[in-house]
Amino acid sequence: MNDVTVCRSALYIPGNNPGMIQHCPYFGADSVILDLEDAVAISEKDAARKLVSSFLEALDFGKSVVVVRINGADTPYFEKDLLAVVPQAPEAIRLPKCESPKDILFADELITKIETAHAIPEGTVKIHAMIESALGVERAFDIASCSSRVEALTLGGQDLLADYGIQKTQAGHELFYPRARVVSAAKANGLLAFDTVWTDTTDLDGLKKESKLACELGFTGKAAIHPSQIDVIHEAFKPDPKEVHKAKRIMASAERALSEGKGAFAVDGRMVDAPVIKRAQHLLELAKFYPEFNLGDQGGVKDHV
Amino acid sequence: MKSKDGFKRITAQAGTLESSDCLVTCSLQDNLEIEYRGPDTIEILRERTEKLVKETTSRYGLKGAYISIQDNGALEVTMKARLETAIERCLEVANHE
Repeated sequence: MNDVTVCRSALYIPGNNPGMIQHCPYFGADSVILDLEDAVAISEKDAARKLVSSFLEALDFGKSVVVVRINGADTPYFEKDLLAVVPQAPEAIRLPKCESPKDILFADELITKIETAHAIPEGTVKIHAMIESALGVERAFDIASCSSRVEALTLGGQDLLADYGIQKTQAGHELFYPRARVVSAAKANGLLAFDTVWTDTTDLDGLKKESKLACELGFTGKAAIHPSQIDVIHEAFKPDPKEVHKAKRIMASAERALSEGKGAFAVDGRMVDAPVIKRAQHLLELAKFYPEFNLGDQGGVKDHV
Repeated sequence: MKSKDGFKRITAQAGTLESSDCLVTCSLQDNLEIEYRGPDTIEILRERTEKLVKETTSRYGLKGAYISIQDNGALEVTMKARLETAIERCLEVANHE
C-alpha cells in the first residue's frame, strides 16, 4: 500500500477463526485486519498468533491488503505477536492504544530488529496507529509524524467513548472533534486515515450515513466488522458521477495547459489551478475502484469470484 | 490425563470443532501414535495428516507422542498451526514440571 492513497474498507477478521481467514481473498475488502487483540480470548492468544502467522505465510490474500492488529505494549503478548507476525511481512501492524510518540518508537525499534534478523528491508512493515483515548487524540499529530513507519492513523471509537465517559449516539456528533483532529493530523503527514467501526451489523442505513460522513470529513477508509458492511462502505465512498466527469475534463485541460505553458485555466467558467488539479487527481484515483467509471484498477476481488 | 500404566501424562489441546477447523490433542509419550477422525474416510486426508504429524513432531524433536485430530474440514495450514500450538502447549507444561 506504500503508494496507495485509497483504501476504503478495513475488515476485522478474528485471528483464531480459520474459516474466516481462509475466505479473506473473497470478501472484497480493500484491506483485512487479522485481529490478535479484542477478538481473541486470553486463553487462545498463542493459538491465534500461530494461526495468523501460518496463514500470512501460506495464503494469497488477493487484492486485499493485509494488516495485523496486535496486542498492546502493556500486555505480555505484544513482543510475541511482533516476533510471530513481522517475519511474514504483512503490509502493516495495527498498534492499539497509541498515546504518544514513545508508543510508536518502541514498536518501531522492535520491528526494525525483527526485519533485520529476517533480511527484510527496514521499513517494510508499516504501523497503523490506533487513536483511542483523549490523550491520543490530543497527541495525534506527534504520533503521526514521529516515524516514517507510520502509514495510517485509525480512530478507535469504542475505547475513546469509554475514555470520554460518554455514550455513542446515532448522529455521532460526540466523535466530531476526534474525527476531525485525526484526519487533520493524518493529512498533515500524508497518511491514510481510517474511521472507527459501526457496531450494529443489522443497521446498514446507519452505517451508510456514518460512512458518508467519514468520507466527507476526509477519512480515506472505514473499519468494518462484518463482510456485509463492505459494499455499504464502498458505496458511501463512491464519488459523484458528475464530479468524476468534471475531474476527467479538468485533467484533460490540465494536460493541454501544461503543454501550452499555462499555470491556470478555466473549466466550465471556473478557474482551475494546482489545488483543483490535485483534488481531481484524487477523485479519479478513488473512481478507479468503481467499474462503472471505466477507469480500470478496480479494488477487491469480488468480480473474480 | 493418566496413561494405561497409571502415570500422569502431559496433555494439551488446540483448535475447535467448528467448520474449517480441527481439534488437536497431544500427549507426550515414547512412541508416535496418530488417531485421525475426519468428516469422511478419504484416505488422502489421512495420509496427508500422518505425513504432517510425522514432519511436525520430528521438527520439535519429540521422541514420540499421541496425536489425536478431529478434522472438520481444516486446510493443511490450519492443521499445521493447531498441531504446533498443541505441541508447544504440551512442551510448555513439561518444562514447568
